[in-house]
Amino acid sequence: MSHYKIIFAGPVGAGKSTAVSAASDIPPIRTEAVASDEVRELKPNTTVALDYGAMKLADGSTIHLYGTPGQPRFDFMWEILTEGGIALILLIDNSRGDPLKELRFYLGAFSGFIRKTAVAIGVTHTDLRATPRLADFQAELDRAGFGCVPVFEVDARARRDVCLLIEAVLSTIDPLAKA
Amino acid sequence: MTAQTTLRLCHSGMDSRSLYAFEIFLSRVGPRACEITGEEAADVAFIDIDNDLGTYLLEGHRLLYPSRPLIVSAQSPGHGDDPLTIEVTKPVGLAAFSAALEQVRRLLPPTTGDRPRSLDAAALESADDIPDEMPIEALLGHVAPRPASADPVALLRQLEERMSTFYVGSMPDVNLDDPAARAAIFYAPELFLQGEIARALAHAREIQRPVRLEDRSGTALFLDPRHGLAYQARSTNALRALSQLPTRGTVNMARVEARDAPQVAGLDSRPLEALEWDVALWASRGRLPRGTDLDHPVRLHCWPNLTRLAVPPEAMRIAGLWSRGSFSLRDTVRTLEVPQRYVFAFYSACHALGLVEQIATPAALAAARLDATGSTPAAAPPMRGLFKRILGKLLGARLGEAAPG
Repeated sequence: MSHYKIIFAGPVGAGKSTAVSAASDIPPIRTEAVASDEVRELKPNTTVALDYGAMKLADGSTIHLYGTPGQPRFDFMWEILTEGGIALILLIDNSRGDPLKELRFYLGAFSGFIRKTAVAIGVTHTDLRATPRLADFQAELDRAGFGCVPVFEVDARARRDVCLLIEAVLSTIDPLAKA
Repeated sequence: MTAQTTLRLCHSGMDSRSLYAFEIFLSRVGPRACEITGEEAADVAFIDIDNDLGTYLLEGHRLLYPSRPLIVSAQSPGHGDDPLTIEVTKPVGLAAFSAALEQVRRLLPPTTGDRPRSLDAAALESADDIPDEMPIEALLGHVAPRPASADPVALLRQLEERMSTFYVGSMPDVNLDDPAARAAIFYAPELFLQGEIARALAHAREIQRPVRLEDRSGTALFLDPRHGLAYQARSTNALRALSQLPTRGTVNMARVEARDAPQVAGLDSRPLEALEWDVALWASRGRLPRGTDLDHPVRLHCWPNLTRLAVPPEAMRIAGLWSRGSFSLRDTVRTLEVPQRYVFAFYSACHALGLVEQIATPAALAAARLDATGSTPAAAPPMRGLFKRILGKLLGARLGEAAPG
């Protein structure tokens, strides 16, 4: 049986677990642990292996949604999780640190996967900090040679926002595909 | 006692089985109380808000028929304070539904003469053993299922297409090779509210003060580019009407003074970008800004922020295509097999926000020709079937929740 996956990546606290949960038709499975490092400053629990959710399609098939752990020390998981993936949703927290630097880092880390598939960027927490603006993210993508990529403001709790991101990334892979 | 007018009632989003149960239910509400009719001719619409698409149907119906009473059934009422929306709590019994119909009658202008009933009498006779007070929801379990008549994705696409007229109008495709017909696909943004807003924003940035736009009815908009906000003093429908016709000198701008503060304070704000996007779509009505070339490739600099803007029909596919290569507007229509107005309206809105440009260099034109030639592969990519199924699922999620305003 085919195992189609959409991958959610990004830094700690960007909303990956929440987004997987919002898009999933089943209660998500989380592998969280009490944060013991600097992540503790951001949130009490963090994903240590993966988040898992699933979208059930009308024909009975399933699209698997995987959220990767955010900390770079779990980067060995990223390659495992992206194996067989069809697209990447990269979530960036606009309220902390240097979001454009985070974008550069994750584009680099997943560049092989992105080149084979496609990426859409969801910028979260724009209500807490409005800059950098979406055009700044696109300029960074241009500089990195990724061209015009869907970049949306996203509330990771909103199913509609997360589904629009997925729809956008699929539209860049095959714009002729139609519901 | 006066004779009752038979109310013409339409339903939104019922499958054939639910509709059958509903017809049986209506037959017990009272003789000639109401009849099921098409959406265009209806006096009142009935919507189940707890349906997957309930919220969307409610908002869609209200946009398309702003003055039509609605009866809305819900497990937990309290969906707003629209005086034309009558809520009935589930399980909906005969008494509650009859009372709702009475309310509708009071909301409608008086009419003369009854209308014939059109319920399927034979089908209803077969349901005579059903107790009169059985609510709609219970009837669903009582009636024999009919074969499903509608593919849910087809229904969603139908809904999306109907809703699309709100943003992209209904202009039919024209022969793009016929110069006379082609004239109909262009408009001059500067002659519309779209142009007034662009001028007002430029002025506001120059004087570093918010400005207001007013017509004969008073202030329509306050624009504050420093904070990126617009304050709308008109309903969405009124603003849409103002946006769709050339202003012909009826709209003036003035800077916001201290005395305007109380009025501004009472208005909701929205991002300027969202206002400019809507107004451009409404002015365009599926047309292109004058001077646009149909054969020059379009370059999308940046995707519109479609989680925070109205999503016009096929916007995702159009943006996806333009992300992949250089396609002219003509080739976009041909490649995606969509109505011209979808492509033209999306281009016009992107153009208003400065997200697109046309490239006229010989190299770009040659690349566009190459892309267009290779854009229709002989065989569909292996994942297309899967993508179609996923997109069908996502369409439901998209339409099931209204876009933020």
